[in-house]
Amino acid sequence: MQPARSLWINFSFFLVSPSTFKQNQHFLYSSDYNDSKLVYGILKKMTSSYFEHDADIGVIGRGSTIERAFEAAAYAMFAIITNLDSVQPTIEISVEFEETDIELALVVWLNLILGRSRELGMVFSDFHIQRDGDRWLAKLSGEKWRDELERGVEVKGATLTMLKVQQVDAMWEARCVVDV
Amino acid sequence: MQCGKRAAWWTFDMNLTHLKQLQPYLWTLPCKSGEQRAEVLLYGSAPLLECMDDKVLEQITNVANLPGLVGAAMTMPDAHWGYGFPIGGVAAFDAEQGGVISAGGVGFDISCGIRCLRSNLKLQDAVTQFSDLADQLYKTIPAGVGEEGSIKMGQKVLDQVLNGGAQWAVKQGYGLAVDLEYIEEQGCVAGAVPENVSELAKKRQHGEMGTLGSGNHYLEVQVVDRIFDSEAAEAFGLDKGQIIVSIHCGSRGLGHQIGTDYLLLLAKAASRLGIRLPDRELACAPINSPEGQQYIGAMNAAINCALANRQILTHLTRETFKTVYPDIRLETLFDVSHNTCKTESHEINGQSRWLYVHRKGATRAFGPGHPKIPERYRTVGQPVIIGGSMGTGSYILAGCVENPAFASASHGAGRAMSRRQALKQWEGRALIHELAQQDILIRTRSLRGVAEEAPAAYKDVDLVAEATEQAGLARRVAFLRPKVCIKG
Repeated sequence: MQPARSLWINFSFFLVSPSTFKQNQHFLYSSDYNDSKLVYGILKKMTSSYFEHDADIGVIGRGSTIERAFEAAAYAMFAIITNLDSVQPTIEISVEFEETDIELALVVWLNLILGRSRELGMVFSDFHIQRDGDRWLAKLSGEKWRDELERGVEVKGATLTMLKVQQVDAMWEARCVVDV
Repeated sequence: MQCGKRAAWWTFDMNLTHLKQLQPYLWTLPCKSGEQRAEVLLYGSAPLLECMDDKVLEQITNVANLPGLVGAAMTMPDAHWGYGFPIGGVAAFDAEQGGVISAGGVGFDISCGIRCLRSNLKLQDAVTQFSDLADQLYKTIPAGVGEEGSIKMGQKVLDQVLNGGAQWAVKQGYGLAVDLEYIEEQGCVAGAVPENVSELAKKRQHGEMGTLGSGNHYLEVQVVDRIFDSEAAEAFGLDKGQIIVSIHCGSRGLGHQIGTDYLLLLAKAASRLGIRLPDRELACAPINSPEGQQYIGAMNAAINCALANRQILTHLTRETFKTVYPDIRLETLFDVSHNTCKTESHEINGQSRWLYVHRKGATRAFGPGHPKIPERYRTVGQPVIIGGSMGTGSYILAGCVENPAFASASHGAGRAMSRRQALKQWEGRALIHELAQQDILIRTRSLRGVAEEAPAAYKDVDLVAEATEQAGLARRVAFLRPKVCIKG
């Protein structure tokens, strides 16, 4: 695990750091969309990973800030549902919530976007969240389910099991088990 | 490669040296010096326990620390690591003794369960059309992530479903009135409070009535391969070579959202009410607290949603079968729920007490004579269904009078390998081909789902059923072999 993480830190900061990416969000919707989506996908895949659980799946998101770690955890969760490389972020929605406890905020965040995806019949591939005190404001992009999208496994909800939001070296790490 | 047959590095590994064997199929975890908690009991054989994760022990020990627990915190032979309670966990609480209700003790997929249908069809008369049947079922039964059903429900109608359960569905023409006799609580649990269900939960259900879902959910066409108990088999209307249909699904998006909403609400309530939880994931509140009562009302609404969902799927299944076998008759054998907390009367030290029995990944298993068993089955006991994996088989059992676990039994084979390990071991398409070689037809929208659900990722269902019988939880009646599986 350690070598992979070192590789990620070096590689991601060299290529496109999360903060640089945030400044260039408009790039996502420009004519160079495909390139930027590719970079976003690579970045999120590198910051998203999983851990073992008997019946369900543990998701991990890492980032330079709590917010980036939450985004990567969301990416990890939705990558269980479908292949996110194929998802076109054509519809953008906003969500917000209030939560003082940072660990509970991760569970609220994952469950909120999961609930909205099921309500709207959508799958999300891009996640941007900001924190303003206890308020969390986010924009999600994705599309409605279509036949061409790969069917992975339905995620029922994020749980409090193995829930942890913590700083590991210079990075933030957000993890919990999701029920599938 | 299944647990109980051969241990491997990727299977789980419970250390039995901490346990004390009380009976051949019953173990306990003795308290450490100074430790104060209720008894922990684990049902199962040594090989089954050995392939459980140590986390099962940790989780059930946490349950044994909860207030108001009556008797022991127990695990069934198919137990595995869950969230909050272990899956296969059983615990009963007394509201008058400060007992709690736990969202983590019920699970997200509230009232996930199995509807079992018996047919008038024999294998030899049906087998040539299995491929056509599989294709038709695949078309008509919405299955897999992102799939919606044709029934779209507004909130007003949904509230009727949440109050009425399968009884609502039958009134709308989905299925037969006689079905209700063979569903727990006659298809409708009392105490549902739709007002306690969030708007988001109701919105999530909009297109999900009459859908199977994903993960370990399935619709399976099976054949009765072996009879163990001819008297009970006769009462259940089972005969060797007979075609059976099993539908495994739950309360869909509505139940998942209720689980989500109340997991956090109860976690915060526990903290506010000063309940010392060994782990936050146990998220619970006293049964008699406002939060506890609110959750119970919402959970009962979700149980009714699940019962209605399985009733609609039963109707869709019958309609589809008729297109292939015009003279088919599919009767409800029984409908069992796995993830529930139910109020039941149990005898404790010679006295009847009303208890809130949590069964998370466990089946209710009333013994012969119990008034809640349909009259047709009353002399032999309640049908209990242990769903297997798509490649092995399932069991129908009957409840025992002397069941020592608040009338509870195993619900499935139970995972022996994580989903991620299964994905590394198997590839969906190859697995489907392999099963076809064994005359098992799979139809699915998710190759990943098939790989994660590989038969060998589960415990040996034969050992689970045998342990269930030997532990006195339920006795085997029939073994069913899969022939067609619509995988969610």
